[in-house]
Amino acid sequence: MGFMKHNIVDNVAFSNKLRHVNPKLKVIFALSLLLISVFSTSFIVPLIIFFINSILLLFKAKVPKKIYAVFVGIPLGFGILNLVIFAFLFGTVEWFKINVFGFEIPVYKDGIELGLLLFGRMLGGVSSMLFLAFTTPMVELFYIFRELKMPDVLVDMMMLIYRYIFVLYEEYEKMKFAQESRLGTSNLKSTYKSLGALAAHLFIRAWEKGEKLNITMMSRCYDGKIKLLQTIENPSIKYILFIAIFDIFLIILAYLTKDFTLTSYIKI
Amino acid sequence: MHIPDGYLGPITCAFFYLIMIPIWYKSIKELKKLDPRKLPLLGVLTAFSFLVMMFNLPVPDGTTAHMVGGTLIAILMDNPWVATIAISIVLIIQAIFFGDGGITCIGANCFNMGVVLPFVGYYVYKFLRDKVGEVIASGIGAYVGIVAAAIVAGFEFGLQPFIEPGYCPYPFTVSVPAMAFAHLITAGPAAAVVTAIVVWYVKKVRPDLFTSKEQQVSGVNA
Repeated sequence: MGFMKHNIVDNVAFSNKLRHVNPKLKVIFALSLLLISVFSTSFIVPLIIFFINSILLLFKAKVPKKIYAVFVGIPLGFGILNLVIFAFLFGTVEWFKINVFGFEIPVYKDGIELGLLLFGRMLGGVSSMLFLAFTTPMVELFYIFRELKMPDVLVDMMMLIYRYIFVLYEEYEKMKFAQESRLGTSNLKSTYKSLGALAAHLFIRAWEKGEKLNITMMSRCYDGKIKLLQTIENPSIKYILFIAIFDIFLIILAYLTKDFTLTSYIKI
Repeated sequence: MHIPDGYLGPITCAFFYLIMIPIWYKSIKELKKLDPRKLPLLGVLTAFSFLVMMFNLPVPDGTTAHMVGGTLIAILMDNPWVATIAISIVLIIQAIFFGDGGITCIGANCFNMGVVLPFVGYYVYKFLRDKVGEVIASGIGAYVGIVAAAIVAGFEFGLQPFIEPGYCPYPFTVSVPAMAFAHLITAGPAAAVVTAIVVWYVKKVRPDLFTSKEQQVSGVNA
């Protein structure tokens, strides 16, 4: 699943329904929601952000539900685990006790609150980045980086790295298949040996591809900067204003709910 | 050991961004000193490192661990600054497009895996290679590097409850042993074995990478 992840994201980024919305707009939207979510002090606004991102991704961008569920499942599981750990282990204010075979296990009120807060932040933050990842091809971000005056050498590196992740991944798949068809993973020792050999071969292939790429680029007058012939126009000011107003609304809401505690509304 | 969004507070995140800015600046200057013709080569090697970070390796206790290719890049490019920028780019791509590690925590993640890991790994390797040979030295370097990075990450988690509450609540008496133990037992040996095997194999197949500086500088096989 680990390797399939970036192929899936890259494919969805090119085929979703929000593909042609101005990428600068999407970057501003995603980053602003991320920051509001991560620095909120109660879980309400992060959860609102999570639902907004989910609705946009599933119903406007038409990201396949199964794919979205897989990606959200990771922070969801991690967040729930945190919630359980915090409820039992991190807190000072006891809420109630659970009786298990004569032992009393305390459940802490402030532990649950902290767990909920981290849970909400994680969902809000991850869904904001998934919004950007699923709707915007990585190559468009490279244009934006260049406009932000990131050093040319850095943007060139990023473009080459992203391109060769997929080239090398294909090489990896071929090698792994060849190894497995020769029982290369039949026990722990041969698994390690196969993985080491695979990594070494992949490295040699990477090095050789780098050398060939260097020759290829030089023969096309590469002089230290990869030319990008396209520019991305700035988004309409009215959309910027809309996002700004929406962000301000969320910030005010986050401030108003900053002392909200769920456990004080539940009686035991 | 990627730190996710929401685990470090704004003060801690800003602190690590501020630390990383001069380091990134220095790394980019080092990168520009490289022959521009080596840039495509470094790009492909960094893509390799990205894939290596996705390798899930089986370990005897039945779980999996992944290595970070920073020490390997530092050793093979003979320059830990280049590894810093390479790993930083990998972490940025992972954070933006795969939700692995947080955007707000890129500074902290780059410090751990882009600075501590390749520098510690590289200099341990340099110290040992004349004594025990390049292959074993690279394995030990990778092991020490990843464990050092894990301990630093544990301290970052662990200091958070004292800096501003409401984020990661584990004090460093909990987080440092947990991170150190996990990487001493699982990710460290995995990184050591894979790095050593790669270096051994590369020495066998392409010894010029270790012996001929002129050939590396030219970037082209004569």
